[in-house]
Amino acid sequence: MTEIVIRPLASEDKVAWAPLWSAYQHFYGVDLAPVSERVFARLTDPAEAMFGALAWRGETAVGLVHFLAHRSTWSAADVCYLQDLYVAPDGRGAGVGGALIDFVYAAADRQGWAEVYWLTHETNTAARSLYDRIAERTGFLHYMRPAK
Amino acid sequence: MTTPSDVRIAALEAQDRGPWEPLWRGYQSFYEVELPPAVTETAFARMLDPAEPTHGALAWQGERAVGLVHFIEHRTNWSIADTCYLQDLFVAPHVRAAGIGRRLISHVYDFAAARGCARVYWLTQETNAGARRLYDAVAERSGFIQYRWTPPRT
Repeated sequence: MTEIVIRPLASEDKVAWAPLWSAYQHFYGVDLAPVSERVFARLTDPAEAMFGALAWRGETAVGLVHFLAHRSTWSAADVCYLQDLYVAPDGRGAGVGGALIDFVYAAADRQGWAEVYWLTHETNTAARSLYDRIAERTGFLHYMRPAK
Repeated sequence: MTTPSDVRIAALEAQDRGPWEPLWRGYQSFYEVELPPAVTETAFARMLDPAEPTHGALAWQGERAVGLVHFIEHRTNWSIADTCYLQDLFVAPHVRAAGIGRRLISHVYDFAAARGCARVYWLTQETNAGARRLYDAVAERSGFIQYRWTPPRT
C-alpha cells in the first residue's frame, strides 16, 4: 500500500480539496457551498488562525482536516478546535484519520495551544472507536441556538 | 423570592473584579478545577479589552452579583460569520431556579444577534441535570459530544 503523507493545505490544493470538503458535507447532510470559497481562502491565509491539511496517497488526496485556534477563559494560551475531519471511503481503515489528528497534535505542540478538542456525533461509532483510543471523552454535550 | 425582573444583566466592567471573583471561584468549584491565578488575571483582563473576542456579563440583584456568563467569538468553517461560544455560566446557589441563568443566556443571544454571529453554542456535563433542563428549553441539543487531548508539557 502506498504510504500516506500529511501536508499543510496550500493554495494550489483547491481542486484536490473540494471533493473531500463536499463529501464531508454530504456525510453531515449540510450544504456549505455558499461559504466554501471563503473557507478555503481563510484556511490558506497566514493571517488567519485557521489551518488545514490533506492526507495524500501518491497524487490522490484521501482525507482532510481543518482546525482553528481560539481564546479560552480556562487558559492563557489559546485552545485548538479540530472542526472538520474526513477520510474518503476508499481510504478508511488505513490509519488516515489518526495520521490527520496526529498532524493537529503536532501543530498544537509547536504552537503551545492548551488543548485540542473536537465534537462528534454520538452515533458515529466508527469515528468514536478511533477517538476513544487517542483522546479523552470529556462527558460534555453540545447545545446550540441559531442567533436571532 | 427572586423574580427575573429584579435582576439586571450588565456587561462586565473593571470595577466588578471584587463581585466577579467569588462567582468565578464558585463556578470552578462546581467543575472541580482550580485555575492558576495568572489564568484568572488574563481572563478578566481580556473580558475588559474591547480588542478581544472574550466577553463577560454579570447578573445583579440590587448591589449583589449573583451570576456570571463568559463568551467568546471565534471563526468557524461552517459560516462566514463568526460563531459565539458561551464558555462559562454560573448562578450563585442561593438564587437558583429564579430564571437568572436564562437571563444570562438571553444576554448572550442578544449580543450574538447584534454582532451578526451565526450561532451561539455551549458545552455542558451530561450529568448536569439541573442545567440541562434549562438548556433543553432555550436551545437544541445537537447530539454532538466532546473529545479532548492535552499536549504533554515538559
